[in-house]
Amino acid sequence: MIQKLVKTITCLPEMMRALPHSKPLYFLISGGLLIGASAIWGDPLDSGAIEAQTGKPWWFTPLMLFVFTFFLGIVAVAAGVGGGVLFVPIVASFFPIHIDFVRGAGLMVALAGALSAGPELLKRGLANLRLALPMALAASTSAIFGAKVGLALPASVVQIALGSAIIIIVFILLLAKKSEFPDVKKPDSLSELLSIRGVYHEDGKEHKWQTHRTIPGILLFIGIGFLAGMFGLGAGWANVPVLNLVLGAPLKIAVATSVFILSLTDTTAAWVYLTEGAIQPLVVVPSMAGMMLGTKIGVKVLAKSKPGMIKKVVITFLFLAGTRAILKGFGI
Amino acid sequence: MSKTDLTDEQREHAQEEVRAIYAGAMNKLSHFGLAAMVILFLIYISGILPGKKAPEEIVPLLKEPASVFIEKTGLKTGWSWVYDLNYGDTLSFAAIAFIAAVSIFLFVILTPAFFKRKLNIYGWIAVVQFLVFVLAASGLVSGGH
Repeated sequence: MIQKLVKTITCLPEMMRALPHSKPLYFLISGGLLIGASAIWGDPLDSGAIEAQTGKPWWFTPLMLFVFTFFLGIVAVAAGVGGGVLFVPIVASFFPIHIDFVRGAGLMVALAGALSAGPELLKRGLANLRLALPMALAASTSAIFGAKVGLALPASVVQIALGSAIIIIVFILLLAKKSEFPDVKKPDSLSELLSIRGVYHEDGKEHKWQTHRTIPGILLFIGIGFLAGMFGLGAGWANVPVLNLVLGAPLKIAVATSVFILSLTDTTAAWVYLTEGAIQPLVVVPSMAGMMLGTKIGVKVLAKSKPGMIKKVVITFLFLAGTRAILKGFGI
Repeated sequence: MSKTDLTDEQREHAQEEVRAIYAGAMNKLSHFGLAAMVILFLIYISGILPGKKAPEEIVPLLKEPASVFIEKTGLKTGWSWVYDLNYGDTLSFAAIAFIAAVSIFLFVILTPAFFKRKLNIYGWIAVVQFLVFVLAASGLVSGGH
């Protein structure tokens, strides 16, 4: 199953072009998420939604978290979007759980996904250690400070900043271009020193690659790590464009290496949340279990759907969740 | 990585070896952690091993900030949980901490593997990365709520 997941991750660009259209699935998933969210807590935009849970047994919240993240997992794989980036804004919007615990759980969800997919990506030579380690060191160091800042700020400020970040991510997802094989004519001196280059095989062909703009790449990863730690987001949405478009790694190498970098960045941020008491098993375990099961189902759904349509649903949801977070932050 | 010691081919081969070691260990540790997390969580919520705090006490407080939650539940931050491993909720938390520590364990394996194969620059990067992990996990970075 993990092999299928890895294959799905690395082949998303092709799949998105090749798969057949499936309107019923689009409506099923989008409707399921909307109805599910409303059924759980009433109108999610109703400020009394949190109070509405009073009187429900304790297991209701973890169970609903499991069910909800299960669907999120399906959608995440099918849309080619990381679970963490979906989890934080949507759960923070729809569930009566403080954003501190949602961010802690979001990091663990993203970390579990990365640890599950990582071994296969490494074995296949797609995740590259020499490319990953310098970038991960920059991102994971700044993630500590991002996490500390995030936990120190008032929840309203975090909500507004998170909402704004999510709206920006929506535009990145909509507008970011990808390049299968960027043209890197000459590696820079740091890339040369670190020997950041490689070869991978696909369809019987050998693809040699090298990178450039190492310093700008490292600076961007410092920013990405800070945001990942502050908001508890998996950072695949930012890692991939930087690796692919700035450093010039081929798309498949960028996608796979991003997963590996994420496993290191989220480790440092997660430990800050752990030691600050912002990780609770009753939130984290159902979320991780639901997301991982959903991801496995999502791989199968992907074969029968048009990911482009699902991606539109996800982007719409992210936009709504981002807007909701901003409104929440302003107390509206 | 000492470029004078290794040819491109040797360096590629050495990296493949290190990658294989890392991937194998990552696979085993993450599977073990995830299985332990689910089992220990079920033990906690089923009441087989009661928690320091019952789930019904925890859930209503999840809408509070982490600092208020800690204050109201009387639970502690940092590493004090290691003294309460006889409780179901702490064991479940320990499994989550194990998953969060998988990469730290992996760097204990990775670092000497780099040096052994004369990939010295990467060996040093791995040393610094390990120290960053330790700093994050130590809880020493001040601040918070």
